[in-house]
Amino acid sequence: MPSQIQIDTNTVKSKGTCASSPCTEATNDEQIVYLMTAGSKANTPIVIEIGGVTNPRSMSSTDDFVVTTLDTDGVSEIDSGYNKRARMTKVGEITSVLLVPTSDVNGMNNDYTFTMYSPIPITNNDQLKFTFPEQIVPPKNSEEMNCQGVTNINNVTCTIVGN
Amino acid sequence: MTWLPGGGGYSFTMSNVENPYSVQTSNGFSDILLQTDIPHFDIAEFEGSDNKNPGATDGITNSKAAPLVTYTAT
Repeated sequence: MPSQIQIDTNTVKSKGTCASSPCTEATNDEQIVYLMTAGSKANTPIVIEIGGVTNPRSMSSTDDFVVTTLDTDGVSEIDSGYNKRARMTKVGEITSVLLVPTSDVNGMNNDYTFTMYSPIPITNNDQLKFTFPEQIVPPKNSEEMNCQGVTNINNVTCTIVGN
Repeated sequence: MTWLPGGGGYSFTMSNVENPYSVQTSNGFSDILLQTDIPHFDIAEFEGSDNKNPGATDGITNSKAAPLVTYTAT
Protein backbone atom coordinates (compact mmCIF):
# COMPACT_ATOMS: atom_id res chain seq x y z
CA MET A 1 0.00 0.00 0.00
CA PRO A 2 1.28 3.53 -0.64
CA SER A 3 2.43 5.37 2.48
CA GLN A 4 -0.30 8.01 2.06
CA ILE A 5 -3.06 5.44 2.63
CA GLN A 6 -3.60 4.16 6.14
CA ILE A 7 -4.84 0.68 6.98
CA ASP A 8 -6.72 -0.05 10.15
CA THR A 9 -5.48 -3.52 10.97
CA ASN A 10 -8.54 -4.14 13.12
CA THR A 11 -11.08 -3.61 10.39
CA VAL A 12 -9.57 -5.24 7.33
CA LYS A 13 -12.22 -7.47 5.82
CA SER A 14 -12.18 -10.05 3.08
CA LYS A 15 -15.18 -10.22 0.82
CA GLY A 16 -15.57 -10.73 -2.90
CA THR A 17 -13.68 -13.88 -3.85
CA CYS A 18 -12.76 -14.45 -0.22
CA ALA A 19 -16.45 -14.79 0.67
CA SER A 20 -16.86 -17.91 -1.46
CA SER A 21 -13.32 -19.26 -1.12
CA PRO A 22 -12.17 -18.07 2.30
CA CYS A 23 -8.79 -16.35 2.50
CA THR A 24 -6.48 -16.21 5.46
CA GLU A 25 -5.06 -12.73 5.89
CA ALA A 26 -2.09 -11.19 7.63
CA THR A 27 -1.80 -7.45 7.90
CA ASN A 28 0.65 -4.82 9.01
CA ASP A 29 0.67 -1.07 8.48
CA GLU A 30 1.92 -1.35 4.91
CA GLN A 31 0.94 -4.73 3.54
CA ILE A 32 -2.02 -7.05 3.37
CA VAL A 33 -1.23 -10.68 2.58
CA TYR A 34 -4.02 -13.01 1.45
CA LEU A 35 -3.53 -16.77 1.50
CA MET A 36 -5.96 -18.22 -1.01
CA THR A 37 -7.34 -21.38 0.55
CA ALA A 38 -8.92 -22.51 -2.70
CA GLY A 39 -7.59 -22.24 -6.23
CA SER A 40 -9.32 -20.45 -9.07
CA LYS A 41 -9.42 -21.06 -12.79
CA ALA A 42 -7.35 -19.00 -15.19
CA ASN A 43 -8.88 -15.74 -16.39
CA THR A 44 -11.30 -15.72 -13.49
CA PRO A 45 -11.45 -12.34 -11.78
CA ILE A 46 -10.20 -12.36 -8.20
CA VAL A 47 -12.06 -9.76 -6.18
CA ILE A 48 -10.91 -8.84 -2.68
CA GLU A 49 -12.61 -6.17 -0.60
CA ILE A 50 -10.51 -4.27 1.93
CA GLY A 51 -12.18 -2.25 4.67
CA GLY A 52 -10.82 0.21 7.19
CA VAL A 53 -8.81 2.18 4.67
CA THR A 54 -8.29 5.90 5.24
CA ASN A 55 -7.94 8.01 2.10
CA PRO A 56 -4.88 10.22 1.61
CA ARG A 57 -5.22 13.65 3.23
CA SER A 58 -3.98 15.70 0.33
CA MET A 59 -5.16 15.86 -3.27
CA SER A 60 -1.75 14.85 -4.62
CA SER A 61 -1.17 11.41 -6.12
CA THR A 62 -0.14 8.61 -3.80
CA ASP A 63 2.84 6.39 -4.32
CA ASP A 64 2.22 3.11 -6.14
CA PHE A 65 -0.01 0.26 -5.11
CA VAL A 66 2.03 -2.88 -5.75
CA VAL A 67 0.46 -6.32 -6.10
CA THR A 68 2.68 -9.37 -5.81
CA THR A 69 1.60 -12.99 -6.29
CA LEU A 70 3.61 -15.79 -4.74
CA ASP A 71 3.71 -19.53 -5.32
CA THR A 72 2.53 -22.01 -2.72
CA ASP A 73 5.91 -21.92 -0.98
CA GLY A 74 5.22 -18.29 -0.07
CA VAL A 75 8.59 -17.23 -1.44
CA SER A 76 8.75 -17.83 -5.17
CA GLU A 77 7.43 -14.79 -6.97
CA ILE A 78 4.99 -15.39 -9.81
CA ASP A 79 4.42 -11.79 -10.71
CA SER A 80 4.75 -8.29 -9.28
CA GLY A 81 3.40 -5.07 -10.65
CA TYR A 82 0.19 -3.13 -11.08
CA ASN A 83 1.87 0.07 -9.88
CA LYS A 84 -1.24 2.23 -9.96
CA ARG A 85 -1.69 5.39 -7.95
CA ALA A 86 -4.73 6.90 -6.29
CA ARG A 87 -5.68 10.55 -6.35
CA MET A 88 -8.57 12.16 -4.50
CA THR A 89 -10.89 14.36 -6.52
CA LYS A 90 -13.11 15.90 -3.86
CA VAL A 91 -12.18 17.73 -0.69
CA GLY A 92 -14.16 17.28 2.52
CA GLU A 93 -16.92 19.74 3.20
CA ILE A 94 -16.70 21.88 6.32
CA THR A 95 -20.28 21.79 7.50
CA SER A 96 -20.41 25.15 9.20
CA VAL A 97 -18.33 28.16 10.08
CA LEU A 98 -19.69 30.49 12.73
CA LEU A 99 -18.26 33.89 13.59
CA VAL A 100 -19.27 35.75 16.73
CA PRO A 101 -17.92 39.19 17.63
CA THR A 102 -17.74 40.20 21.29
CA SER A 103 -19.31 43.57 20.46
CA ASP A 104 -22.30 44.39 18.27
CA VAL A 105 -21.39 48.06 18.03
CA ASN A 106 -20.43 49.27 14.58
CA GLY A 107 -16.82 50.32 14.07
CA MET A 108 -15.82 48.77 17.41
CA ASN A 109 -12.43 47.09 17.71
CA ASN A 110 -13.09 43.73 19.38
CA ASP A 111 -12.48 39.97 19.39
CA TYR A 112 -14.01 37.53 16.91
CA THR A 113 -14.56 33.87 17.76
CA PHE A 114 -14.40 31.45 14.83
CA THR A 115 -16.02 28.03 15.21
CA MET A 116 -15.93 25.39 12.50
CA TYR A 117 -16.74 21.71 12.06
CA SER A 118 -14.45 19.59 9.91
CA PRO A 119 -15.57 16.26 8.39
CA ILE A 120 -12.05 14.86 8.51
CA PRO A 121 -9.47 14.74 11.29
CA ILE A 122 -7.17 17.73 11.26
CA THR A 123 -3.63 17.50 12.52
CA ASN A 124 -0.76 19.66 13.62
CA ASN A 125 0.42 22.23 11.09
CA ASP A 126 -2.78 22.14 9.05
CA GLN A 127 -3.82 25.62 8.00
CA LEU A 128 -7.19 27.39 7.89
CA LYS A 129 -7.31 30.09 5.24
CA PHE A 130 -10.07 32.66 4.72
CA THR A 131 -10.66 36.10 3.28
CA PHE A 132 -12.09 39.03 5.25
CA PRO A 133 -15.07 40.87 3.75
CA GLU A 134 -14.26 44.41 2.71
CA GLN A 135 -16.49 45.92 5.42
CA ILE A 136 -14.54 44.34 8.28
CA VAL A 137 -11.04 45.56 9.05
CA PRO A 138 -8.55 42.92 10.20
CA PRO A 139 -5.61 43.82 12.43
CA LYS A 140 -3.12 46.02 10.59
CA ASN A 141 -0.39 43.40 10.62
CA SER A 142 0.39 39.97 11.99
CA GLU A 143 2.14 41.44 15.04
CA GLU A 144 -1.04 43.21 16.19
CA MET A 145 -3.16 40.09 15.71
CA ASN A 146 -3.55 37.85 18.74
CA CYS A 147 -5.21 34.48 18.19
CA GLN A 148 -5.98 32.00 20.94
CA GLY A 149 -7.44 28.51 20.81
CA VAL A 150 -10.76 27.97 22.55
CA THR A 151 -11.93 24.45 21.70
CA ASN A 152 -9.77 21.57 20.47
CA ILE A 153 -6.99 23.91 19.39
CA ASN A 154 -3.90 24.03 21.55
CA ASN A 155 -1.72 26.58 19.83
CA VAL A 156 -2.70 28.81 16.97
CA THR A 157 -0.68 31.26 14.93
CA CYS A 158 -2.50 33.75 12.71
CA THR A 159 -0.83 35.46 9.79
CA ILE A 160 -2.06 38.13 7.40
CA VAL A 161 -1.19 37.36 3.80
CA GLY A 162 -1.39 39.80 0.92
CA ASN A 163 -2.24 42.83 3.04
CA MET B 1 -1.99 25.65 14.09
CA THR B 2 -1.69 22.91 16.66
CA TRP B 3 -5.00 21.10 16.59
CA LEU B 4 -6.31 18.72 19.17
CA PRO B 5 -8.34 15.97 17.50
CA GLY B 6 -11.89 16.10 18.71
CA GLY B 7 -15.24 14.89 17.57
CA GLY B 8 -16.84 18.28 17.96
CA GLY B 9 -15.96 21.68 16.62
CA TYR B 10 -12.79 23.68 16.65
CA SER B 11 -12.76 27.31 17.68
CA PHE B 12 -10.36 30.15 18.28
CA THR B 13 -10.53 33.89 18.88
CA MET B 14 -8.86 36.67 16.93
CA SER B 15 -8.38 40.04 18.57
CA ASN B 16 -8.18 43.55 17.10
CA VAL B 17 -10.87 43.02 14.48
CA GLU B 18 -12.84 46.14 13.60
CA ASN B 19 -16.61 45.77 13.14
CA PRO B 20 -18.25 47.15 9.99
CA TYR B 21 -18.84 50.89 10.15
CA SER B 22 -22.31 50.50 8.69
CA VAL B 23 -25.18 48.82 10.50
CA GLN B 24 -26.02 47.00 7.27
CA THR B 25 -25.05 43.34 7.08
CA SER B 26 -21.53 42.88 5.77
CA ASN B 27 -20.45 40.36 3.18
CA GLY B 28 -19.35 37.02 4.61
CA PHE B 29 -15.86 35.71 5.26
CA SER B 30 -15.07 33.80 2.08
CA ASP B 31 -12.64 31.35 0.45
CA ILE B 32 -12.59 29.23 3.60
CA LEU B 33 -10.20 26.31 3.13
CA LEU B 34 -8.43 23.80 5.29
CA GLN B 35 -5.01 23.08 3.88
CA THR B 36 -2.26 20.64 4.74
CA ASP B 37 1.23 21.83 5.48
CA ILE B 38 1.99 20.89 1.88
CA PRO B 39 1.49 24.20 0.04
CA HIS B 40 -1.61 24.52 -2.11
CA PHE B 41 -3.16 21.20 -1.15
CA ASP B 42 -6.65 21.58 0.29
CA ILE B 43 -8.16 18.94 2.53
CA ALA B 44 -11.54 20.52 3.24
CA GLU B 45 -13.57 23.54 2.26
CA PHE B 46 -16.70 25.39 3.32
CA GLU B 47 -19.52 25.32 0.78
CA GLY B 48 -21.18 28.36 2.29
CA SER B 49 -24.65 29.17 3.49
CA ASP B 50 -25.18 32.36 1.52
CA ASN B 51 -26.26 31.71 -2.06
CA LYS B 52 -25.12 35.16 -3.11
CA ASN B 53 -21.54 34.38 -2.23
CA PRO B 54 -20.66 30.66 -2.33
CA GLY B 55 -17.97 29.65 0.11
CA ALA B 56 -18.76 32.51 2.47
CA THR B 57 -20.18 32.69 5.96
CA ASP B 58 -23.18 34.78 6.78
CA GLY B 59 -22.26 38.43 7.19
CA ILE B 60 -21.88 40.35 10.42
CA THR B 61 -24.72 42.67 11.42
CA ASN B 62 -24.20 45.31 14.06
CA SER B 63 -27.19 45.49 16.33
CA LYS B 64 -26.09 48.66 18.09
CA ALA B 65 -25.08 51.95 16.56
CA ALA B 66 -22.04 53.48 18.21
CA PRO B 67 -23.47 55.73 20.97
CA LEU B 68 -22.46 59.39 21.13
CA VAL B 69 -21.28 59.94 24.67
CA THR B 70 -22.03 63.66 24.76
CA TYR B 71 -23.73 66.01 22.37
CA THR B 72 -23.79 69.74 22.86
CA ALA B 73 -25.57 72.28 20.62
CA THR B 74 -24.58 75.88 20.97
